[in-house]
Amino acid sequence: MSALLDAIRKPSVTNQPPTSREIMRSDLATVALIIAALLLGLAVRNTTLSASKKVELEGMPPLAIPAHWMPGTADNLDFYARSAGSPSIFDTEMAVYTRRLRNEETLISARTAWGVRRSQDLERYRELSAEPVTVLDGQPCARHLCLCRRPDPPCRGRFAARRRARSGPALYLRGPTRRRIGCGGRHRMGLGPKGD
Amino acid sequence: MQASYTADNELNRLERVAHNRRGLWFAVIIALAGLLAFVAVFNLVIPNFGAGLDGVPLIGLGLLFALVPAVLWLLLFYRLDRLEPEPKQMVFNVFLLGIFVTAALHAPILDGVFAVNEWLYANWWSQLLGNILVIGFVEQVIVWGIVRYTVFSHPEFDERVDGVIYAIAAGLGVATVLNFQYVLSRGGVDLSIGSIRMVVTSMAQASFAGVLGYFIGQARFERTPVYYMPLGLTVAATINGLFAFLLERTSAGALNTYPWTDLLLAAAVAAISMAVVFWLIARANEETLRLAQAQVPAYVPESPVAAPAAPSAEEANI
Repeated sequence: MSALLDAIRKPSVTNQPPTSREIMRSDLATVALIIAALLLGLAVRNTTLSASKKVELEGMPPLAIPAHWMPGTADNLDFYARSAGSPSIFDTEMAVYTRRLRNEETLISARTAWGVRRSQDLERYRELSAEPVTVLDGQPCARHLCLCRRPDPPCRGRFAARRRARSGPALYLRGPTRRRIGCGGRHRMGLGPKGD
Repeated sequence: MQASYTADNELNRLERVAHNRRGLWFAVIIALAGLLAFVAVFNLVIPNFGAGLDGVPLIGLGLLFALVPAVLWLLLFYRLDRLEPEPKQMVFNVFLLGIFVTAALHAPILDGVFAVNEWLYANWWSQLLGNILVIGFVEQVIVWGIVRYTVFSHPEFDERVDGVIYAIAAGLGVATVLNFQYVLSRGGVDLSIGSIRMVVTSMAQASFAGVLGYFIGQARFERTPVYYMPLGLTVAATINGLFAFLLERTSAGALNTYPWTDLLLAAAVAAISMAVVFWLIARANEETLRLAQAQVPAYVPESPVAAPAAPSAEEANI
């Protein structure tokens, strides 16, 4: 500690001023440090934003949700989570519900039927996009983005009339129990350790 | 004769580099006291000042308040640093440059590139590392860049302590923009609480910049190792980040804020960091003069003319 203080107090054993070459070398070292610090900051940012926590749901594959999302409960849903710190005016949230597959029902028809039902349940429901994706070990899945105004928002008061966005992956699993899982959320949601 | 002249020049240069500015230290102490008085006036003497204002007048008054701490610092620098004042225009230009560069880079980098509000407060370690690596470094790099690429090579930058003066001027520019952002983002502020917040920001930024300025001053007049300036930047950014982290954590999880606690913390940080900087500069100056006494006669080669005696330590300190 004493040596460090001495080095800070009097870094040179002479009184000679630095040469222009030494100043340039110092500048380059400083710029390198700045770049390294900002890259580390970017790494911290990415790690924080992509951090997830696992949620175990009974009889279903584990879910991975963004670490800072707040899980909660809601009627008719198996799972519900919301991003409390969403910078958007649209709160981002995720909900999971299940139902059995009907005979001969395909992924596309199930997703379409789900959209039709939600358009009846939710005010100003609109689908923005839909695309087929594959999750985990090749299971087919559909991801869609949608927008709605919640008819019965969990947070009453000044935010009650705020428009909310519900979007993200909708998962339809084909397994021995023939159950489906539908999810909404603006952030990507994963199943198990591999994510989606 | 030429060699003797060179030796005298070298001694003069070193005496100038190692000049102790007592007026400046006094100015800093008075400035800190003045900032506390500013807070006391608008919280204790006239606590309802601006209470009837709203909208544009409130924002205008808030912006005026945001300028007060920086103006107070700069005025005191001029008034009390009379013996060997820096060119007023240069100090003011560095302050203005601090404002412009911060306005141009601070928000675009922090909000645009790093989007700090989306992740900084997710957990304590992201808050700590983000405050140091992103916010602390960005703010201190602005100060370093301004001083390094404007006044560093200027002939007026001829004393070790000049690094502290110009860095504080640039830091006050940073603080002023942060205060502007604070007022504008809230559409005006409560002037009693706002005055505390503005003083906290100004004191803190001046302290961090003072620490960085010490390293800049050393790098200007000493043959420093290659890690020296990066070390100074890291120290300043770390103090900056730790300070912001402490302020945020003391109000974390509560709906109330504790402006007086923040003010005490800022005053303590400012007093301690300035005291350390002054002490380090005084010791470095002593060491420079001691070396000068030992080395300057060596400049005088064998000559029929008797070499002048080296001045005593007391004379060199005048």
